Amino acid sequence: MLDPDLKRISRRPVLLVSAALALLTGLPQGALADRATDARLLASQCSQCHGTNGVSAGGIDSLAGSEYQDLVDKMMDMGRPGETGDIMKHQAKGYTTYQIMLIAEYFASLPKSGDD
Amino acid sequence: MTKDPLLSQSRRDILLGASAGVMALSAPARLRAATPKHVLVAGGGFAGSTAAKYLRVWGDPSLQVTLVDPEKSHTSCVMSNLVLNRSLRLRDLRFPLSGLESYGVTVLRAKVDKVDPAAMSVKLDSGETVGYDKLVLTGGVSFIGPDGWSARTAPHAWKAGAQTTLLRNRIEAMPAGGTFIMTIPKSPYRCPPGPYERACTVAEVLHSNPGARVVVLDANAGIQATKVSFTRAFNELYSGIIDYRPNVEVESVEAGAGLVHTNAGTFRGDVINIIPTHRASALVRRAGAVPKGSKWAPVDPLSYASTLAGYENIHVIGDSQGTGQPKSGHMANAQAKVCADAILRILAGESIDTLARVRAVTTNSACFSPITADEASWLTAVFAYDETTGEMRVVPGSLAESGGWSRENYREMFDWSNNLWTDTFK
Repeated sequence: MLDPDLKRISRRPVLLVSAALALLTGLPQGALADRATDARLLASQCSQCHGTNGVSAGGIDSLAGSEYQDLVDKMMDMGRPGETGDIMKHQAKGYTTYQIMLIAEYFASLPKSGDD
Repeated sequence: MTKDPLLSQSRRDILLGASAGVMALSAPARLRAATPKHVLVAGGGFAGSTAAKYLRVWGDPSLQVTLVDPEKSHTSCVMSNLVLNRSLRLRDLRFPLSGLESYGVTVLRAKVDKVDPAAMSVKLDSGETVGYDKLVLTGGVSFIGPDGWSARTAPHAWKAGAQTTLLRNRIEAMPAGGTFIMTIPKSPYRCPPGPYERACTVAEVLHSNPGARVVVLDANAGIQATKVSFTRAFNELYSGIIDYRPNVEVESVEAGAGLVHTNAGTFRGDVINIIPTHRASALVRRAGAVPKGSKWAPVDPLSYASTLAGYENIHVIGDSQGTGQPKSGHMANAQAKVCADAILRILAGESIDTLARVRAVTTNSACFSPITADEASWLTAVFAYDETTGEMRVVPGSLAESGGWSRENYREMFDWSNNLWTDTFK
């Protein structure tokens, strides 16, 4: 299961995404690493079910390499009031829009796993 | 023995083993600035294994992480009720801690006898002293049994292993029309839905034993988790088999005579399953991380660092910590990641309480409970850091249960547990 390169690969795209964001927002350099690390911490809470670095061990969707907008849309849809009866519909209600954006940013920055 | 962790024999071994051995160990003063940081994790359950793994996955490659545990493998309590009906074997739940070595974790088979917070070192049962920059303590729970109780005669089976097998054998040897008594301690205890799940599993097994009953003596005022599903299961599915009694506290046990004495009278059973009152693990209590008069270790949920004076470099995660979050393998894994993230930031000289970081501190719970031989229910919640109270709080709308059971849930239960185990131990 262990890809020794995963850690190195995984951080780069986040920083690239964040760098692009920083160009737009004018955030200082230090905030870039912080944002990526905050996103990583938030996203790691999905890994109990969706796998380390978003690569599932099977049966549950991998999140690594998801489309950013697709993931945000799915989470926002599932989180709508009245959407009930499924674990993810309630998990989705547990996060703010800002948190969902960070989580999606993180998984979108990872290489897509082979087995989806 | 020396107070300088760098000079301890085992510390030197770890340094030699993990780094290229090119450093001049004879010059510790000069070495200090360039010395890689060392995090020692005591206990290889869900909390400790996840912390050790994520410290290495996320940390600088030079970070040294040692996992110390007296056992070669961890036996998962998660899913262990399914050993009682032989859906799973104990060996399906056993995870070798050597699985973490592929991440660069040094796994040490030893018991932590003593923690010296001032010297920042621990003493192992081998006599060795190992220094640390940060210490993570785990160890699950320990039990306070009622008078006359012994785990041999009235198994708890609340730590998976020989106890689970013992209870299964007792259930299978139960006489025709016999009575199974189980007791549930006051909350908090590990795995809030677990006891009710066990009642269902045992009742299901006893279907083939006409007249057999499951008497559930709950010290709490009512079912503590997944209440809709369990209430329905007790009243409909297992009506006439499960006899649920809230507000019943065990006072003493005479297992030989099959007697459980309680505040509501004496109950007689053929198999007695006592789940005793819980408190922090012996490891955490031995370290002095639990104040007198308390059962759990007080910690800051932004880092799981102990809030006791002099314990700033000691973190407590999993069942032993006292933030009030539910005690479970899934939650222990969740807390371990927050703890690992905090340790890495602190070691890098970064702050852990910026507004952005505080808003990234969440944990979550998801779990499945078998209700019948091929159907299960679920329960889930997300916890977020509350900036006003400094506590972890359930996010409104995120706490929910299945309100019933299905075969689909039963299948998903195996996907969930498999992913949780993989994220933790592999």
